[in-house]
Amino acid sequence: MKQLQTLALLFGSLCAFACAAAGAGENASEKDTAQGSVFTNSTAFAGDALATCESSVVGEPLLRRLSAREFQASLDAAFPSVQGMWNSSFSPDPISRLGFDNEAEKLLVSKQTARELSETAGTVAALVKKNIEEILPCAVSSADRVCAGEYIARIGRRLFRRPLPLEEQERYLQFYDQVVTTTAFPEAIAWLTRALIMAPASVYRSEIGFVSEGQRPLTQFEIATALAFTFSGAPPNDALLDQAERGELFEPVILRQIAANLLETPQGSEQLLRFFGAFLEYPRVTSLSKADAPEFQSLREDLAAETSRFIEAVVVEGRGGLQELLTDPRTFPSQAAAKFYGLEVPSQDFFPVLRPPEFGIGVLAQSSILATEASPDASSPTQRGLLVYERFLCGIELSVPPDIPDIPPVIVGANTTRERYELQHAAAPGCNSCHREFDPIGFGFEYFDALGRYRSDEGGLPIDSTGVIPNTDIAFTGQAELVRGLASMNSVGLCVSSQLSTFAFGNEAGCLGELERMAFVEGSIGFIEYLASLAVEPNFIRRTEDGSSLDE
Amino acid sequence: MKDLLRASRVRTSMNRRLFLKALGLGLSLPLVHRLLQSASAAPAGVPKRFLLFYMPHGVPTEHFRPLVNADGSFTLADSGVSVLGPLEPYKNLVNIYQGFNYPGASTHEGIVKFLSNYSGSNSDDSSTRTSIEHYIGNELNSPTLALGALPHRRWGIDFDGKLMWDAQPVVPENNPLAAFDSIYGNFSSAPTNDASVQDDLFQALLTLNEAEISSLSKELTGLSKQQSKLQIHLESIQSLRASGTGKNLSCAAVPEIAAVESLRTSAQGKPPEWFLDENNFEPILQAQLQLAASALICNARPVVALQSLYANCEINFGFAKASLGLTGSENLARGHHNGLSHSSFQIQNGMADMNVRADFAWAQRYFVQNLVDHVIAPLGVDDPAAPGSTVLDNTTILVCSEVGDGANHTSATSDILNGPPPGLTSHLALTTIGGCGGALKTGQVLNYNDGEGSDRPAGDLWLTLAQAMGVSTTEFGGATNVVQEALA
Repeated sequence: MKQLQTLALLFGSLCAFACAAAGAGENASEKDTAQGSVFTNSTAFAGDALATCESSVVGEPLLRRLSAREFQASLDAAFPSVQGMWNSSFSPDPISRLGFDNEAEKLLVSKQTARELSETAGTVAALVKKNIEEILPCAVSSADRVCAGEYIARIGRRLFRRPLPLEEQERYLQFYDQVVTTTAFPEAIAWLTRALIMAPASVYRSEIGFVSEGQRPLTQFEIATALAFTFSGAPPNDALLDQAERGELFEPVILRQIAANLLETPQGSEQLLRFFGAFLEYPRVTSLSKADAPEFQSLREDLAAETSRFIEAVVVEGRGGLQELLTDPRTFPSQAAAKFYGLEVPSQDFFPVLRPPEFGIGVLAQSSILATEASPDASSPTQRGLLVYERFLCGIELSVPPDIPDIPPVIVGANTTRERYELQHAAAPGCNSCHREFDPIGFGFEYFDALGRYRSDEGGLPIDSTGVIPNTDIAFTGQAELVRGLASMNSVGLCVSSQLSTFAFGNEAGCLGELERMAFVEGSIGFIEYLASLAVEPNFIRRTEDGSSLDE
Repeated sequence: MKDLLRASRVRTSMNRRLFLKALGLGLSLPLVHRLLQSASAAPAGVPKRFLLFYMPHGVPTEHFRPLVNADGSFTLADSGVSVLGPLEPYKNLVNIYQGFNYPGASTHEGIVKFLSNYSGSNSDDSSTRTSIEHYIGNELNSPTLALGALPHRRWGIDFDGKLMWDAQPVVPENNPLAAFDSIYGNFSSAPTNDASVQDDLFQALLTLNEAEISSLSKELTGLSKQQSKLQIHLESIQSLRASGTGKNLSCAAVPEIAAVESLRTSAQGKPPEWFLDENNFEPILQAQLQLAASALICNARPVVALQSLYANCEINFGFAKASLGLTGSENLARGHHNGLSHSSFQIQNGMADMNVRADFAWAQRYFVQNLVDHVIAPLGVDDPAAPGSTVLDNTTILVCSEVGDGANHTSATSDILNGPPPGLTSHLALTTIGGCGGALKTGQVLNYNDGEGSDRPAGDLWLTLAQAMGVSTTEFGGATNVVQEALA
């Protein structure tokens, strides 16, 4: 891989929180809340995430187990007549370091998954048996092997997302033969249903391809499957499978158009929101409680919905990019949230209103995010700074030592949050070696309290929201100047685009999405366009032969 | 005093009360009768049961420690709020373990490291590891029933929820109705011809499935990482084959469990997210506890684990105040994690300030109280398979948390208050209740810290409990030293 530039943040060495050793205290609550993202292994992330490449690379062949959500969508598509009549037995999927639930290497068929797969297959099969006249009309007129074969071919194509070769059909017919000797036809079809649902061809998205001239071009059906799941979170419909069968999924212009069309659908919007939910972690607000603010319990779902609506308006409807995401002056609150947060009350829930200038701008002024990245009873420069550090700057991962003492409690009117943090962190070298990289960013949000609500002072004390983005000369006063500064940094665009690519490919490998990456970084295309451009990346249509990555 | 009176009542009216408790749990009269009847048909040997009960984020040490007398006796009800106070009536079956640690932990990473004695990172999903409750279940050929009450965040399982592992992370079932169906759904008192046919067909289905997986794996020659995935898949299907579809219940009828039945009404028509809503935590927890008790009593699932909350859960704990019968100035209406468990220990006049962490102590006592009310007390019923003993006598309930002191995230013994006696030392919160069929010597406080910062690995204790449960092993997660004093 030829790297043209690496804009990694300039850390002299890997820093680890050492507040305990230094005798001062990182707030354990902040460390805990961030765990699972920043504070895991001490492996550098910035290098890969912020690197740009001369050209895109082709990644390794993958079997991608369907996530629970994808599998539900697959079964709904295969058995539309029983949709909504059953509940999935699937447990939630493991979340990756970056917060995504579709990382190929984490999605395995464990013992638990196998058990849940079997239970779900049994549930759906029972419904098929109950509704067999509708699902398989020949069961009424000619309940025989031919009818079973028709079922295997039709349902198999939907579940496997490809036609079944005759040899493969015959294996399932032989199973039918075995079953039907001891059960009635509808019961035999139910068992066939279980077998088809549990088949590896149903459980995995294949991105393996076939060996040809030292590479592995993906099959037409693999490409159709990748398009559908990547851009709509659901399996390919019959029309897309028909296109694959006709061999039409090669031309970049066609692939890109299909991707764009899928992103325009409601399922496409949902898929996009899944990315932003993981990227910004704002859905976490729905499980938080705040001290002395009982109203928050009834508003937190509204806050998450407000942020989703903001993203839809800016990214989907407005075709916006990073600049717009970070600096759009609107928000879309519910009427109840607007009243509580001191915003103009919209004419209807989740209609747009302009933020007052002091209330900040863009997605990082959203109350859902500011309340999530806070303590129950106080704002948290560390948590807010860490969100930016990790998700917008792709800072290196940090290690946290055990046995970290708590930060002293808030004493209203005695000192400000910033003063407490600067005393605990900046003044302690063991803490400051890491906290200097993100606490200063967090100070830019200090006009927002623990609930993400604007405050003009803190317990009667003046607020200092000035700072400099670490490792840059970008100075700011307040949230708006801070996020405008972030929006001006190429490294922020590189960082965010790398996460979009990871989400799309289910794979953290770098340089898979370079074709239009700089256009996204420079702001000439938005999120939707950049995502759609990934459909024409080499990795979307072929893989390396042996699992290594390959320059294009 | 209240606890002592209660203990007296327990001693004087045990049989009648336990019988009523069993009824309260939902075990119908015919079932109780059947339980008693089935005693004569039970196989030789005592059927042992195991329950892992996890409560999140440590304890406030000053409210948790047992007070040990010179003769070795101890009280659990005279330590401030007394987190373990509800266990006082059962203390003859209680062991408190001190002076244990687990390796290389970084705060909540301890969740997985603790129970598996695995020293790697919990962000590493690729390494095979198994936590103690699943290890015991696997070794006894009795797959662990993993239950949860708000065991993970709404949108998936991240590090804070990965408590249990069975080679891969295990996600506890958060829906008691689904768990009930899983335990009792296929229940039948005796195998029928139809059941036999169904089992044969299921085996045939798995044979086809295994062949398909193997066939795909052969197509991937040279792609070892992808083949490894299929190997895990194949082994999981083989495990499914081993477990089969049959149920091996000692109950004659499916029990009606009060809290589960109550949920059937309140949760009717609700989406899956309903079971991850903080506001429904208490009825779900109590349903899961009663379900666990029934599974143990009926010997339907002899190995059970119950994860109450994930490590960082910020559930507003205000609901617990009424449940605990508190009417004073206690303020539990805070997030459990940051708001309660992170409250800092403080010293007043050279002694522990017993007020500053009282609210956190009440929150943790809530878990113990519910465990007692919904599991421990009901397990006092006569064990149908072992006349003369109770199910509790033949069960081991392990109560634990992933850190010792909530605010300090300790993973080892730690002196919190130095200086003259009484001092204050924090240990990992490790307690067992139950006699394990006579295999455990109970009624003890066992402390292995040498006073100079040296602990025993928690793996030693897991190995000990595994052996007590009848697992033939001399090693667990690298630990090979049995805690001899805990064994009878």
